[in-house]
Amino acid sequence: MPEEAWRALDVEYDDPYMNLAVEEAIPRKVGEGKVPNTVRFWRNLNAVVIGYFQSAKLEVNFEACKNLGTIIARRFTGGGAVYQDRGNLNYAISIRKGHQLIPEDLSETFKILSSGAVEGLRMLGLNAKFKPLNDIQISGRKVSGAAGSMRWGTVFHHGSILISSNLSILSKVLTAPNRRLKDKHVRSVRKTVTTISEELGRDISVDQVKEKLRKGIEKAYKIKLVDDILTREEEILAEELFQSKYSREVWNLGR
Amino acid sequence: MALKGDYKVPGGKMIRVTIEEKDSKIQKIAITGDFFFYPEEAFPQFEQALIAVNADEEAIREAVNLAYKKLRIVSVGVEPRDFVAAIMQTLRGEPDA
Repeated sequence: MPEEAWRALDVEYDDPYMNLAVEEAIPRKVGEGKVPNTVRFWRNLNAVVIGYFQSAKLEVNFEACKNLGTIIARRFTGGGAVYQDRGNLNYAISIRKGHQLIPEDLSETFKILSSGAVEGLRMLGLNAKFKPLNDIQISGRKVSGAAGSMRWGTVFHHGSILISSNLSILSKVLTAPNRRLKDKHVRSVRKTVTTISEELGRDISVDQVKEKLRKGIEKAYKIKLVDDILTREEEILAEELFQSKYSREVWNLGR
Repeated sequence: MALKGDYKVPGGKMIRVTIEEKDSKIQKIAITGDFFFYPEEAFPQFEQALIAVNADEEAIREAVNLAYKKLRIVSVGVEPRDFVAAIMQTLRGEPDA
């Protein structure tokens, strides 16, 4: 049986709102059957991306964001806030509903759809492990978090991987969850979060990590990734979503 | 005056609640956090289902369970009982236990 072919996209913008508009346009078109199952790789420039159910005010230090030029953007999936700079690689998987990879039990979906990234990190020589509910850890510290959704006839999963992100900015722009812990927050981030560079003890390029991630995904899901670009329909939809939703304050800061 | 509380769910997720109570009923409520809740669009209705509910554990549990059923909610990282516990803790005035 020939290997199933999925689309691989490298589509990123400087504007985090446009990045998140594309993030929604792809699973919508996959669900409509207009495009094949897709894996997108992309990065943000300098942004805090918060979960669908989170309060921007409670999770983000607005003052620090203002000083550091960090933009606050909300995504359409649940989960927690993440800081994203060019040293953070995002991957997003859109699979049409009914695919054999997708389990009945929703909490299993995170594990299965994180396995490609786990495999890729292992190919880099790292002892990466899936940590329920939705994280990947290396020696007990978080290197990647994931979120997902089932909408528009698609099972969608995306994760962000810390390659060489500035963790000191991360600890400034994200607030500590508990007031009593605030002064310990910077130290606590250092203890619980890590980057690929830190774990390898050397610099590594985003392209090198992406290459292994692609191989890990192909191996874990027994598929072949074929480079492609957004369709015109996806671009038009992304532009609409940018205008009507992702660039708007009511969406980003309204909760 | 609004009551605020953060509730850490066993397993790691956080539920953050803001409530206004009047005449022993929930008058306003906002729930936020880093959980997963499907379908996402049903969340405002879930919050709405708690308005005018008596501010006691049994009534809140009933309202939460009913909303889960009616809106066909599936959540990951949080259970109905976690929302109940988060709301009760906030009503008791414990900001971050």
